Amino acid sequence: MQYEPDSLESLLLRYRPAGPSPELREDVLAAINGGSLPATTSYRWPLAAAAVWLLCCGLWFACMQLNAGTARMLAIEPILSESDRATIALLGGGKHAEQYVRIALSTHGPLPAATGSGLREINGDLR
Amino acid sequence: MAEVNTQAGGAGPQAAAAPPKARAGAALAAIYDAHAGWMYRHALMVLADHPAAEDAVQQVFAKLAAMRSEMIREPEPYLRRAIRGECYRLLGRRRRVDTSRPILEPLAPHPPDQSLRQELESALRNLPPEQREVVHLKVYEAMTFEQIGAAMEIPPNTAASRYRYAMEKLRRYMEARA
Repeated sequence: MQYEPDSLESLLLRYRPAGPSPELREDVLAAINGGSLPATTSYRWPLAAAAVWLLCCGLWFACMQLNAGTARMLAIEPILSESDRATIALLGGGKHAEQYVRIALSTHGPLPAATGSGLREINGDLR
Repeated sequence: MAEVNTQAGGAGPQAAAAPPKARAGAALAAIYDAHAGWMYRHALMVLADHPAAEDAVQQVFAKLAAMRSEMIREPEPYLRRAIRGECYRLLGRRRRVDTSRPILEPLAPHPPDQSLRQELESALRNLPPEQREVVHLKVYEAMTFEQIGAAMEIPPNTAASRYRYAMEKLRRYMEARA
């Protein structure tokens, strides 16, 4: 049997592709109304961007905390020499005397010998 | 993002007074009623498989539901691109084709001829999906080659030659069976 293109077309036109079943409509609309259809990529990338942003914020915060901790750890008070300890003793010892000597060290540099004249010199400088 | 007008689908004045979710649902139902028929037939001719065509239509409506559907102005070009994209995505992933359900149904004035339907179906299944798609758009959607080219994003000449090859293959297949 010979088929010409036109006769083939007319044969095809005796049929048509089958349509969707009524159940498909119910399924699609129920899924849309129930929100059970899978999320699409249009929602995925903003979520991914938000997750990356949160991760960056967390890392930044952790770095800041680590930095502050390290700074606290590195803020070690200078070790007092024998001469400085003698000066503290001369001033009557105690917390306030040590604080006074440390301030003097930070502003004046190495203290002169722990003598009365040396203390007078420091007092003069501090004033 | 494509814009499709759900108002064109006939959501109606009652829908305008309804809550946004119900309004979106009614709008999508209107789009489904207006377009799902041709979308499903297009998908069925590309995929030659009912479950896959159902998946394709469902996926397109899932994407549509995720969009701001009240912004959708031109449904048909968007839906045409979306259903094609979904079909070719499914073609790349599928392993088996369900041939148990017929892909063609008789049109009313013609007496049903089971053997002819089976032969035509078998010949159509024998074509590559792109050629089946051109045959579908030309024969069943009565598109010109320019329109087919625009829909398939190919030059009209390519669409015409695909159609010629497809008809030639169909003819040889049918003659061999006869």
